[in-house]
Amino acid sequence: MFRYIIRRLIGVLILMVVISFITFLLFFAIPSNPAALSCGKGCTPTVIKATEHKMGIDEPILVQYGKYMKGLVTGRTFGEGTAVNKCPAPCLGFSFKTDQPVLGMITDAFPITLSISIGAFVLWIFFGISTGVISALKKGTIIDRVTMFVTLATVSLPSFFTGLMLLYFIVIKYGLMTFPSYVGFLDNPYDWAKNLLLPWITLAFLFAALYTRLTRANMLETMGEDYIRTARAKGLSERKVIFKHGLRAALTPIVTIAGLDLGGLLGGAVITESVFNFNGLGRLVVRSSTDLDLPVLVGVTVLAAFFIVMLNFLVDLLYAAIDPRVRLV
Amino acid sequence: MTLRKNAVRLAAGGAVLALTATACGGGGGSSSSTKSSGAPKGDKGGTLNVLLIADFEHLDPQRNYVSSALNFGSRLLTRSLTGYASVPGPNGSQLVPDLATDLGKPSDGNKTWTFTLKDGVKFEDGSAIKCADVKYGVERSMSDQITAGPQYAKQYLVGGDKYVGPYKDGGKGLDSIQCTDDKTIVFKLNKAIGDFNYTTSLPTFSPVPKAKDTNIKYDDHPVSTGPYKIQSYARQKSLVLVRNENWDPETDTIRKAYPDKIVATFGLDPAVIDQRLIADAPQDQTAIMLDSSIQAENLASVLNDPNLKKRTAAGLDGFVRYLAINTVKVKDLKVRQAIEYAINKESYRGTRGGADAGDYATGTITPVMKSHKDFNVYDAPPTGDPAKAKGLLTSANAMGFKLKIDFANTPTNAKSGAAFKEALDKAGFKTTLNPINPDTYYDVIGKPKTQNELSLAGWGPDWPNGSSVIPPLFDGKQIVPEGNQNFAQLNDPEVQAKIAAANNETDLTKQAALWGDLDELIMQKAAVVPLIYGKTNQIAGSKVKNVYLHAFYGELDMAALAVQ
Repeated sequence: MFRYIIRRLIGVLILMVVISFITFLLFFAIPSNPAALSCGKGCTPTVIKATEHKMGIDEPILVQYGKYMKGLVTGRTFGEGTAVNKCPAPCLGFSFKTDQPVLGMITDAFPITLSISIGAFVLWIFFGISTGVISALKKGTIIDRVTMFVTLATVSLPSFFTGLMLLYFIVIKYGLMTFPSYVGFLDNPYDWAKNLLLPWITLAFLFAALYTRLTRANMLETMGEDYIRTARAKGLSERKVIFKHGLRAALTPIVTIAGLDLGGLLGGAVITESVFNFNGLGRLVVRSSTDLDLPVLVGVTVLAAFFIVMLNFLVDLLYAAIDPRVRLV
Repeated sequence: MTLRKNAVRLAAGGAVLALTATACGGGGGSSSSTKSSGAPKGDKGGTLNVLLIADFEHLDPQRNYVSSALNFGSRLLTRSLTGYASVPGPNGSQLVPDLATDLGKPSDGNKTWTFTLKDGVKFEDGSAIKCADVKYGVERSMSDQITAGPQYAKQYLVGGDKYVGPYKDGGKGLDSIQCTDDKTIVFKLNKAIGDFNYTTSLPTFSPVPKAKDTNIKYDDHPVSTGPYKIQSYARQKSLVLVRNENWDPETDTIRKAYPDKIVATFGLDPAVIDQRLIADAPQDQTAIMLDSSIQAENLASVLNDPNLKKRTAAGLDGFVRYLAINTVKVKDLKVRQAIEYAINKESYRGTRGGADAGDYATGTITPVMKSHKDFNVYDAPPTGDPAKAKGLLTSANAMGFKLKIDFANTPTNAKSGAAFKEALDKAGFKTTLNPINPDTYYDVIGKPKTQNELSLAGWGPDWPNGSSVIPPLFDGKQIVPEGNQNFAQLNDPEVQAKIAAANNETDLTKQAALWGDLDELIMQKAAVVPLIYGKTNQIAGSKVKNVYLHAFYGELDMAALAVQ
């Protein structure tokens, strides 16, 4: 088990390096010049060259990448003359656009994305799985049909639509809430939850529907298995049959997808963050793409990839706990 | 040569115009309809909320070069030597002294300019603003570390082109900025500039205390010289300004400083900003928009509702959109005149939203500037006069003249391009379209060798005088192989001589008249087809007072707003 974990962690590290390098390469494949973009109209070639030098993009890609990786380990120094700015390790550089340290930008944005993602995750897992189980157990009844109709409808609604509708009716038209703005959990847990409620609902609305359908399908399949019949034949209570034998096995593929979904969201819930004006990682990456802000783009991309890979890894470890049929070697 | 660099990209990329169309000077003017109550002293207090699409690019005065940031930074935080009056209507573009006692004294044939600092002007820490602070501020604008700001100091000051900035000059400084005492600053220019005092209105000429300069981090907390100082600034999230107790209103004729506190929130969707201000919920009754204008889809409902219209400021945004005629490739004046008559400005304006997009333009100097002159050289209807165009083409023996139109490839511009082609072909030209990647558009057409016959462009001046329009767009001496802005490639001795004469005139009223005459002369030479003077509409919450578009900034005047 220990060797397996070490092997996987090394794989994660290699993947991070590859992803960061690919992001570097893709960035330089874009025909636009971030220095010219920052410089604007009327900017002379001399000024553009000076700006490229300041940004460090006048060097070969490999040199830039080497310096970037070295900065992660040893830190870097930017600027010249008396205008020197130190960037301690792990240095992700300074934003081309705002000159802010990228690490600080990410650590500012991450708690917001984490808050949105975790809250929505809890909501969608709770509602998605419970309605899925009920629907499967009540197959063919009016409850099942209504549930399936509602989930089909909600899964078809994009989150920007749900978010804007919630905002329009709850905040703007009826004034039931003030316009959400992020409050740190440690600053005020009540305000934190109150302000995050609409983003949570928006995201959960979409995902819960998917999980309902997924849970229902898996439950139906599992409940038809021989071992369920055996369990019933042994005289186990229906409750035990459903939750200990049926749901547990049906959850395995759901855990896999939940891990990937959560990992993806931790890299930034772009649309939800945009609709509700929450400056999480999603908005940061969109903004940095628009602004050709390479250091921010690489930093957030690597972090997002890290979450997906790590959660995938955790899911693998969880398999054994959930499904006794799966054992890690 | 423009503070409105983003807006120029917008002019290229019309699709996003609606988001930031206010990013330019000029408003009010003849077409502005404003609620200009003029807040009395009793309106002091309260919190003004500013809802923005994005954080300010830079509040560091030497890097501040985009109009929303200029309006916010220059009107609230960082004062310069000169500035603009805080009044509704065209008088808002009136140049007035700010930190300086007057508009500066030219000597040596306009190659030396001397300014004297007012008594009692202080930084937010209470220390007096001295000549050395202004000199240091201007010098740091020339450093390659302090990017994105205007380059006028480098271009205009003797030795500026070689100067490396204060971080690498070993403490020598730039000799052409001289402090004869703590109050008097002298600028030695490399050419005669009769209206250098307009240039000094840019925050490039704001003082920075050397001891407090944190170079690139100065953006996070520029030391205030204005009525407010930064209390907190979470980049991309929010900015809170509170009163600067070391600002003396007796030294400042521009800023009213009514609210006690100003809270800017960044990252809002423009549609959400619209909805919040229209809904006017209690928390938004003291809010305004700044870097956005009312979205096209909401404009009709706002302007048709008397209560909403009352809270709306409408007017010109300071931009002129035009079609540059490459005078090197289209040499024959008659052919150029035929283009003037052929273009259908009505269909062009239609592609950009109709009458709300702008007023038909007849020159390149917008009506909100004192230098604007009323003329209409080509007295054709907005739909054009294809018959007259055809006649001119025939007399020039140029029927079937081939034209290629450069434009930034956005959906809106593609429609505009199609409208131009239809009109020009109807008049007897053979037109093809040349859509260019919006990100690189100005780089591409900025190379005179490869620029085509016609190029769609936009311009917003850096200061409200013809000197920020005519020379950069039409002075043949300013044609460069890359980064060229004279898209007409006009290299005309008569125009150049008159530009030199206007530049030399220190009487600003006389100078304004000279620029107006030049604008008309250039139209007679058919170097551009002016299309529209852009318009914008901004709305404020019901408890905001003094809601008018500032003539130069083309946005709500941050120096005048008050809350009930």
